[in-house]
Amino acid sequence: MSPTAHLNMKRVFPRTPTILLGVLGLCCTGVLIADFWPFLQRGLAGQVILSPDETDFDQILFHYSTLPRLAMAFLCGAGLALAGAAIQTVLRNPLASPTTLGVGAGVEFALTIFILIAPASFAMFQEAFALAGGMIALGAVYLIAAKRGNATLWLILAGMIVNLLLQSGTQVLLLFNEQYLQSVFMWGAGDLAQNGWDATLFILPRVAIGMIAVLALSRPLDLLALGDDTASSLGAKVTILRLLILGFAVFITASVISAAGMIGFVGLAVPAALRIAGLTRSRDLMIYSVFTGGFALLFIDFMVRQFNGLGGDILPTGAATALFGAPFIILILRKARIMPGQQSDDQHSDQQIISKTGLSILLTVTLIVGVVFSLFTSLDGNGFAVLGWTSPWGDSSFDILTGRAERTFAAMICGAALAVSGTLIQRVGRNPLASPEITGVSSATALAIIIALAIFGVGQRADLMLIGAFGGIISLIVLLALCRKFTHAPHYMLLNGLALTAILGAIVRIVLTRSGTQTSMLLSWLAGTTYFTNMDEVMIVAGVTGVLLIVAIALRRPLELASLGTDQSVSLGLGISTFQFAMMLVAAILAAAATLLVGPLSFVGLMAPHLARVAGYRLAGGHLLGSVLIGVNVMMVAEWLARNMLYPQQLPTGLIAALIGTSYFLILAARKR
Amino acid sequence: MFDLKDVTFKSDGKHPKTLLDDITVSFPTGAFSAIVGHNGSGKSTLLKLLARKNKPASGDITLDRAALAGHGTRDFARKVAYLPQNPVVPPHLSVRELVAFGRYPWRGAFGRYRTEDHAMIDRAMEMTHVTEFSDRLVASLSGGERQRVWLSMLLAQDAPVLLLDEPTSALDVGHQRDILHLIATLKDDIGLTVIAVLHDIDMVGRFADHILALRGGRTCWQGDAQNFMRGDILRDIFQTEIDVIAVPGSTRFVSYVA
Repeated sequence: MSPTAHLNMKRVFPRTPTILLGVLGLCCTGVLIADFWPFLQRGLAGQVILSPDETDFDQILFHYSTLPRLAMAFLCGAGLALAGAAIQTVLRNPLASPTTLGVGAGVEFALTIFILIAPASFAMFQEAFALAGGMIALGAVYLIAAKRGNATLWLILAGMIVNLLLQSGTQVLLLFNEQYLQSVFMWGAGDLAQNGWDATLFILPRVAIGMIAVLALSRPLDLLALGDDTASSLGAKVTILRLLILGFAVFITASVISAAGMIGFVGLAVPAALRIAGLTRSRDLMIYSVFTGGFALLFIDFMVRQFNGLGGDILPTGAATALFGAPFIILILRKARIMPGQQSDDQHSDQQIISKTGLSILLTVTLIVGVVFSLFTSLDGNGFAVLGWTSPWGDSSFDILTGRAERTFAAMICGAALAVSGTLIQRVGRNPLASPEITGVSSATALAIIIALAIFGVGQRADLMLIGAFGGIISLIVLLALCRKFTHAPHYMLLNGLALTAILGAIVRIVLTRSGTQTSMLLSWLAGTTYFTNMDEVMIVAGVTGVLLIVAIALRRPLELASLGTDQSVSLGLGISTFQFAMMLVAAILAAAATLLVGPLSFVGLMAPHLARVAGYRLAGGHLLGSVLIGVNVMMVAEWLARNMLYPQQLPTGLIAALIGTSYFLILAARKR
Repeated sequence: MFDLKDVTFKSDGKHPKTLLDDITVSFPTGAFSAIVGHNGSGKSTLLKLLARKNKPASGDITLDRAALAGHGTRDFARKVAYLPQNPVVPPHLSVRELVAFGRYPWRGAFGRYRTEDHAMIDRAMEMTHVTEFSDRLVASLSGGERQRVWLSMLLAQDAPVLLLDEPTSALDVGHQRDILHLIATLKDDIGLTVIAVLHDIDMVGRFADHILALRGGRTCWQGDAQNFMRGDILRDIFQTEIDVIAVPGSTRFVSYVA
């Protein structure tokens, strides 16, 4: 019944996109009229566009600021939307876009490196550098996902990981170069403010070239939509075609980002919305995307300008777009009903049942040896330095030791808390890819904390911890509400995470462009440093983690039962919804506590339970213990590396943990088919 | 055991479709009842109503003369064991660990498994011939083997009522016979009440005591196996050219398609 109806609906040329475009067009005409009004009244419109009266301040402001800003907004929106449409069609994935696949973050990272490091005479290579950054990021994402048949889920997950990693990489670079902080951030937040026509003239030819190229390739693009085999049997050179189109899409994105900074979500939301509205042929989709994207960004930018008024830009356009766009993807997904790729249920069917006692003992021994090593040994400029009780430093060695112990234990406790949290979410959500970081719980926690800290000025760490936990729990409840009706929950979990991470990113950028004093502390906390912790907090978090771990282990039988799915658990007498809710609550509290100590970034909550499962910890109790052991070990190593790798510079622990996590997933992706 | 009176069920959504209309039936205690019908006739939906996975739009369902919704979750699980059509296969559990979950309604989250629980688990595994897989992962078994493991779990659950949604769909004919024979024997020995959705007409005719036939969400026919195996009745239920012939040297009939 319904599939046929669906098909019938698609045959007629859809009117919705036209209406959408029309409405947006009208809005933009309104914007133009509003902007031009003072000059229209005086009949100066033509003059102000072509040759403004140099003695009239209003005319100069309009000609050199407002007008190029309008043009920029349209060009950027159009370019990004087209790039998004092309990437979505090539990868046959409605969630692909320059932002979700890490292209934006790659370009940003490359440009930040370039600005900070490259000598001025290299300026001509800046574009190539940005382009390479974007291509490498996209390549990494593609490689991870390609091994899994490009399943939507993996593509998005890989995109998220690469995104987070590159963003935090950028942040760390900035940490070490604080003098550039404000300006790079302003640019990073997607600033469309103009003070001349230079930027517009810079991107106009580039976006135009990219657009013409992509549009020219639109017919073979339709072929790609049929699948590789069909396309190549119809005579298309699939690989070359794909690379060519992706290359142009990245080129457009890189140009836009170089000129205007990160503007997220236009590239995702516009083509996805048009596709849902019924545009399926790629040429129509692309042409519509160009105009819809341009108009949409023009309109959003107009709204943003109204807020900004006198005191400079409070709300950068790019960040605002992310705020608008992030909730939108959830909406898209609810409409589009995109099914995830083949979820292999029998993934571990060849697995042997083996006792994990040996491995557990090994991990414990490693842990103890590692802690002792980590506390007493460090790298300074000359190599290894061992801290002894009777060292020449005398009393100070004890201070050093307590200082190190504080940070090491903080990291380890966080590892444990995140591992338990991740295990619970993965088990109860029956989703091996879920984790506090991926599902957005960590992001929501960080978001709540940042807002409380920067906007409401809450300074007490205890209060912050409560507020953070509250934020995390709310996000989980939202998540559960969204996932309630869908059997394919993994998608929605990831999307929630994606949306929340994007919102977090936007808010962080907004906050960071404003608050001067706390900026670098916030930044390093976000990147996951243990530098600001003190022993009392560590003890509190340790207590909470310990108690909740014991609770979770005591509940291992219903936890195991939950893996049979809702129907079966209820049939066997477990009130599953209450239980799930309680477990998610526990997971959220743990994630929030850990986030407060080391920030939202580390992938321990995803990696540790995953690794424990692969290592063969099958049953809930063992799984919990195994992932705690692994999580603690990873964080311990990460913390030691963070302290010593660039001595005397201190790297954020969370970032190192994330690096370890990302490499783990890259290895996993490379090895497993 | 189960009594249904004027039960209707509608699908969710903006335009609810009536999937079951005005079903009034009483499933006899200690008997093997089969629910039959064409694809989409509402068989599984009806079974889910009995298992409390679906809630009726109107009408009353009672279990032991008490309203179905009135039973607590654990209490209900001790009375009624349900096997869905496609149960979720846990990737990490061994056969014995899965079967042991049959004891959950009796022992809960913290209760220690006693000797009689382990004896019950062993017996259930022996009856369904899965003892040899005991330490293998459920996910590594074939479809038919898995189906026997699930059944084993239901038997360990030790509930007086079994609700089975196509329990033999993935079994070869030998195991189909074994399982249905086992269920029929258990029914006679310990007085189980079995309600099963079944597809194979001849198996229904051989093992079922009471048959409910659905067509388009309505009761189309009900009665015993003797009267069920008749050409006109089968043609009416399944709307296809089908007839029966007598088994030589027996009073039974088997079906064939024309």
